[in-house]
Amino acid sequence: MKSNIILMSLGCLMLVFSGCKDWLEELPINTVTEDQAWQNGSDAEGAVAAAFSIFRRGLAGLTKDDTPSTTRNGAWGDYYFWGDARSGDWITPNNDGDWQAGFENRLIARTQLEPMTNWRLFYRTIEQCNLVLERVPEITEGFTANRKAELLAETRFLRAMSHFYAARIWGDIPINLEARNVEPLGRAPLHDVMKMIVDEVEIAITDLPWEYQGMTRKLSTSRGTRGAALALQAHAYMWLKDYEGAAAKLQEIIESNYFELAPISGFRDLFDKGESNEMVFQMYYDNQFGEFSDYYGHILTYYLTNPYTSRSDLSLAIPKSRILEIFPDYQRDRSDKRVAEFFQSIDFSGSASELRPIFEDPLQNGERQIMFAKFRKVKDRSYNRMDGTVPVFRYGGLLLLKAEADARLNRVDEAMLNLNKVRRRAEIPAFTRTDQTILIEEIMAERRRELIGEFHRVYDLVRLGRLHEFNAFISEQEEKEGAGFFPVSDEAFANNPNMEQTYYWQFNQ
Amino acid sequence: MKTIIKGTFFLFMMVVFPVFLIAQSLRVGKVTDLQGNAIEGATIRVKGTSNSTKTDVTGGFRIVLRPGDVIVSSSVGFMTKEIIFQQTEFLSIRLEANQAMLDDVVVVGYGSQTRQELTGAVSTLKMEEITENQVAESFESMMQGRVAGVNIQLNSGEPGATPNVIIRGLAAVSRDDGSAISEPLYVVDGVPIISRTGDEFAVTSTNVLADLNPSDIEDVTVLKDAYAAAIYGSRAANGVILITTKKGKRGKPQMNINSRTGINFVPRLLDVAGGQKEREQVARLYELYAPYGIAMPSMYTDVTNPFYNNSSNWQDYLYNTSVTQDYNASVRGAGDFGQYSVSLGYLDNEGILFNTGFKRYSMMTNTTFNALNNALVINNTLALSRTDQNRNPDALSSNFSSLLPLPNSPLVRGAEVYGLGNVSNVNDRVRFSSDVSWRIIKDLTYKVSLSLEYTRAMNDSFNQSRRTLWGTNQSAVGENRNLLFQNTLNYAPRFGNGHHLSVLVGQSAEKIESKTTKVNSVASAPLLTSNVKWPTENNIGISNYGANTLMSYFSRIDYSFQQKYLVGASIRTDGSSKFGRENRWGIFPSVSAGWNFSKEQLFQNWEWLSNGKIRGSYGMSGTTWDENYLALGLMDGGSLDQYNSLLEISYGGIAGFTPTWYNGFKNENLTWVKSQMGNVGLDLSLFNNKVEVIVDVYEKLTKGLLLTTALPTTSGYNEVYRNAADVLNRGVEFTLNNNLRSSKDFSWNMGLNFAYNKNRVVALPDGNADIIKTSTSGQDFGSIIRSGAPLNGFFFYESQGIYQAENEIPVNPKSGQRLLGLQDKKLAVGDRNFKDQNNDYIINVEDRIYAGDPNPKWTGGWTNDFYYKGFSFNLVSTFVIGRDIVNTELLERLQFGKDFAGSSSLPDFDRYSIWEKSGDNARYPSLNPWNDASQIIKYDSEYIESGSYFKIKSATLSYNLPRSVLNKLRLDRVRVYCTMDNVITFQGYSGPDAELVTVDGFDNSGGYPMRRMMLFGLSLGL
Repeated sequence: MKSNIILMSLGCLMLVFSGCKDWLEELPINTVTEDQAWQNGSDAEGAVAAAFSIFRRGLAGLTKDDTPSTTRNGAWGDYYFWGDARSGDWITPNNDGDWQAGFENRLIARTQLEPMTNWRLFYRTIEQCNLVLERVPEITEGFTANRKAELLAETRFLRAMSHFYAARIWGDIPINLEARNVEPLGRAPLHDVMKMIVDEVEIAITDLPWEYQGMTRKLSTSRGTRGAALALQAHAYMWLKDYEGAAAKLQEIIESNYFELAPISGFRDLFDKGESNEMVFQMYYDNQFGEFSDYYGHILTYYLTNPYTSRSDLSLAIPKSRILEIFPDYQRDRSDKRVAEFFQSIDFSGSASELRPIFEDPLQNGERQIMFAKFRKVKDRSYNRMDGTVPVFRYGGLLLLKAEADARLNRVDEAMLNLNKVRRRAEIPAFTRTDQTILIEEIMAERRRELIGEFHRVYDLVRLGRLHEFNAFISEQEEKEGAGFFPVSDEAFANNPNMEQTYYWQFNQ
Repeated sequence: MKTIIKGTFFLFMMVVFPVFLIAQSLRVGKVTDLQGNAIEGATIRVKGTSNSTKTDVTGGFRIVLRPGDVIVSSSVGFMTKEIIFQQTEFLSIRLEANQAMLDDVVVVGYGSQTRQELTGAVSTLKMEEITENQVAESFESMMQGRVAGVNIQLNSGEPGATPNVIIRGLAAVSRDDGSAISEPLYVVDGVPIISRTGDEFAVTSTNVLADLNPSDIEDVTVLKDAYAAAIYGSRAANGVILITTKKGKRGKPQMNINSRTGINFVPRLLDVAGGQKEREQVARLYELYAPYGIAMPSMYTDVTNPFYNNSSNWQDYLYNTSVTQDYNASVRGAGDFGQYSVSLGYLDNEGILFNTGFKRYSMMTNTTFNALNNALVINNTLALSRTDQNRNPDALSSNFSSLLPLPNSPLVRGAEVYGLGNVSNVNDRVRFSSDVSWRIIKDLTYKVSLSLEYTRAMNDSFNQSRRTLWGTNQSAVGENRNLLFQNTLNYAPRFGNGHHLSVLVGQSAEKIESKTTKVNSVASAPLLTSNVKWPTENNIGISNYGANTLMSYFSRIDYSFQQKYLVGASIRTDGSSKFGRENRWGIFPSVSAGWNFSKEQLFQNWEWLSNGKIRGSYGMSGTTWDENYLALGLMDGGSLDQYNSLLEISYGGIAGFTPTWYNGFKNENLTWVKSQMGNVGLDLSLFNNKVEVIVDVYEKLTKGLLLTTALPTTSGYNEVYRNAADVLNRGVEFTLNNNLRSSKDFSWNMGLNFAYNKNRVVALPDGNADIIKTSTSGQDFGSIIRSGAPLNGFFFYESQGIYQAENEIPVNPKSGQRLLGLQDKKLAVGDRNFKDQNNDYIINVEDRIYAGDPNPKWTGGWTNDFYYKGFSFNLVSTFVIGRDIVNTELLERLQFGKDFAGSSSLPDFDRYSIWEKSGDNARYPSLNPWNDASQIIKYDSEYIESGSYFKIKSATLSYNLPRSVLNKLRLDRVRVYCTMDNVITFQGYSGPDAELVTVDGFDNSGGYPMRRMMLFGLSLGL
């Protein structure tokens, strides 16, 4: 009897022992673990989309979540700052000290600008791409082999794109092509970064379609397409001063016939909605999918005032005299149709609590009172749901890039052809002078006009070492020492003995 | 167990039972203790014969005796007494209690052991007398200063705050990962309980253990060394605290009522310059430093401004004397059927600060049934409690400018100046446990127990901005569920000539689930009521869930030979769901040995040596961390941003997962924090147990403390968790107890304990490289962990005084550039002269040096109990020696921003030596509020002070009514007492209280001062 009971209880214990395997399997129910996250095709789709989402946030600026103690709460819409602010064209009518410091290249002294010198989100995008490129090849379920190849190629493109964008901002940057790479990476020379980008895109490009099936034009151009990849390659070649390479890639885009210049009347579709055949690569925003921005996180906050937002004064603007200088045709005979599309004058005399009227004449207001209205939203005096897409590459800009490459190769006719396509659309006279130097200057001026406020100007000038000609706060010598690039933030030096500050910024803190 | 019941039974008899004189015939007698209480069950034997008897419930006995017989009277817990029978009418035998015998049995992990056979470092504290005379929200604070090596610091006076309990030195890192304090494991009646809530799931700030009514506790046992604790395996590295609750005792039912009321007095508060003095100081700062165009606000300049002549004593207004009430009632009893115990408690502790307080409602029932001829013992416990803590939404601030009128002033009628609203923290706990012990055969017992514990924490707050009248409210609920299933088999035979073997085999399975739901809302328009409108754009709810499971197998073998030679070994293996599959199980072994040398022939002649034992142990135990899924690599699906946008979640309508960038990636190597501890101890009882000395020496090496290390930004991750630091704690513990009786009526018990502990980081990864937590904003650089330095060691800028003249500021001879101050500031006369340690002519984080250790070197306590007839006087003191702390209380008040005027109160500048002009021999630099980089920084070595203190924690005077009165009142016991709590502190520190300091050594200046309490109480036994 007693021994039976002992046996029984031992038996009970054995049951307990055998049940332990499942007992210790505890997995989260409100998220997934790394092992669960890479199972099928939709995991792969999600992971790639997430990489684009981080990149978009990177361009919009770091949020409080991204850095432990940034001094500002929320993102700013910083891409503007990187690509345009120091071009010498911009002013801050409401005397915002942070913007002003940025114009004057005081990027370290102003601690509020510290988050902007931080490349964390670019490297997060890169790491997300690295993880996709490591894990997705193992996935076989839930998507076709073709789609899998597309996703991998797209990821490779985005990884190159992130490196490219960061390299334009900081110059020499670390290259990270490996998942979970915790090694302290030093900065690779800009030349090597651009070469890597060209090579990486070369690998990706065969699997990239010109257009994704079943996607709207807007959505398709927000992803990695062959057009976007070629445009990236061409830009990288321009930095490498390999103008043949750039021209060849751009020629492919032109010959594809997927893109065309939108008419002036199509500019609202192009700039406000992103739904246009001129768009090549853009950052996706759409209220319909909940992907919108409010006060923080979108550049429109700083460009627009009442009647588009509740802002009563301009935060960023181009002075009237500078507009007239940039658009000489408009000054001469009001012929340049772009001016009325890019600028507006608001009747500031009206009550701030009502939608203010817009003057007929875009430049009616005074020197510091012209609103940059290239990108607009509905008039409703709130920041609500700003969902204008943000262009990265568009056909108009690429034509001018092609013109620049051809001009530098002294293929004057070819250069003039593309330059004049853009001029014709703006309804200004065709350019006819064949002197190479003058032609190049005119192409650069045309790029300035066409792409104003689209975050290209500073990069063009830095690429050519000419920022000092337009920004009075940077001397030629300083630009040689790296003043055209952003300083590297303190955080990049943490746990990284191989990190070096840009030469200029070592001495100009 | 039997002995403990007997022992406590006699203790109880001693206290409770009145004297009943029973007229008897010849050869009748009575056995009592020294206080005259009857002793039941004492054996009366005639020496050399088989003639014996036992005393009845009144202590009486009858026995046939002849003159000259030697009567031997003995009873458990008392010294055996021999008397020679003479022709006496009535035999009155008084037995003296044997102190050593009374606490003969000690509760240890999964069982109990006699003290004689104990080989681990174990301290037991009887709580009865402490809880009877004192009121506390939680029992930990009552243990302060009473157990050597257990460092308890009450670093906030807020009602319901959590004391820091650190056993044998800190082995945790004060950073935002996991707990800053190496907390012990708490076990109540054999069941590990939820003792804290991980940060992720904490919704209230209340001490989780405060819902355990201290009056329900019989004793507390602290398992300090590896052998005692390792049986608890993966959670034992920081020590284990075993709590035994009160149970019913045989005899008459014990009914007790204890009711007390305390008055809380406001202690020393902040030093404030009031009214005119504040105005003059502000004016002076403007005069000295204000840049061109900055004018003083009108309340400082305009005599007609109603604020101009105001002088509000905010502290006086917000701090007030308050009342604490505590009522406890219990009924307990036992018999052959088993035992029962029911207790009720109510505590209402009003805070001295406006709008703060703590309430506890508690109930506990415990019943035991004996069945099958005592072979089956069924035990059920149900404990219910609720705690309710109130707070101000405005944190605990009382630091308002004295020029602002008080809320009751006609100037501001109705408009309250401090933050509006309130915060309510309610914690509920339900604990149900049931166990069945079955004695299968003699010496073999099987026990199965199941325990369910449920805690719910609710936080409701409403907070309204005084300026905009916008309101926010938050409502949060956190739940924890703990399911525990334990099986143990115990075989403890005694055989042969004094062989005693004890074998334990057991298994336990545990699942802990946590869940939170939080809802916030921000009103988009000014509010006039606290009913927050919920605009659709602005309410965000969050919920969270986590669970972890633990599966354990353990075994322990103890062997003793004639209680002289003792050896023991234990092993436990724990599997936790927190780890990756490859690294799931941890093994925690330990061994020990002991030698009761006083039992050797050699020492038999040493009359003064009652008992002597040497013991040693070595073993390994562990700790884990809070996060449930850390090792698995948690992925993040993104979250809505502040505008409810999906920007951080999806792109083009497609959402996916990314790593959780702050927690790094999947790490199969993450493992237990392993702690190896060696301990050698000596227990001595001298002079017939009148003096007891316990000495322990230990070394604890904690390996692989979980740390986040910042990764290079190029990796994409912010931080990764690693088992990074090894920390060594070495120490000595010394305890001296004596109980001296000078006469029949007077006795004195003294307890002195002190412990020395030295803490040092011994190894770090990556070749012992410093682990630095860099912050992106300028001077606030976070902490450094450096090999060779103690945990939380201060790494500060070395102050060399103040620059008195331009030429004192060093100039780089090579470049001709002057030394650059912190945050690249141009240094000026009057600024702090920090030493440029690396001579690079820039003061930056690299110039920090090791400047102090916030870990206490010596901690201890000294208790004295005096008894005279019915009176007793108890004095409890605690002390800390050799600790560095930072006077953040002062420095934060000297730190001014540009809009300092009117924002808060100012200290009286005259009392501090502050630099104003060249030649001032000052301690503190210029207080220029418009300086780009403040000169008053937290990491200035000038603010380090000694944190040593000696504190008389409590003094109690009590009186037990004599028998004669009790009999008339028909009561068993009446005690009246008065206790003064937080009596006086002796310290070198210039701030308010050297105990109100965080674990990492910074004055808890935003905190709550410790009240001084005068308590009056009445305790009745019916």
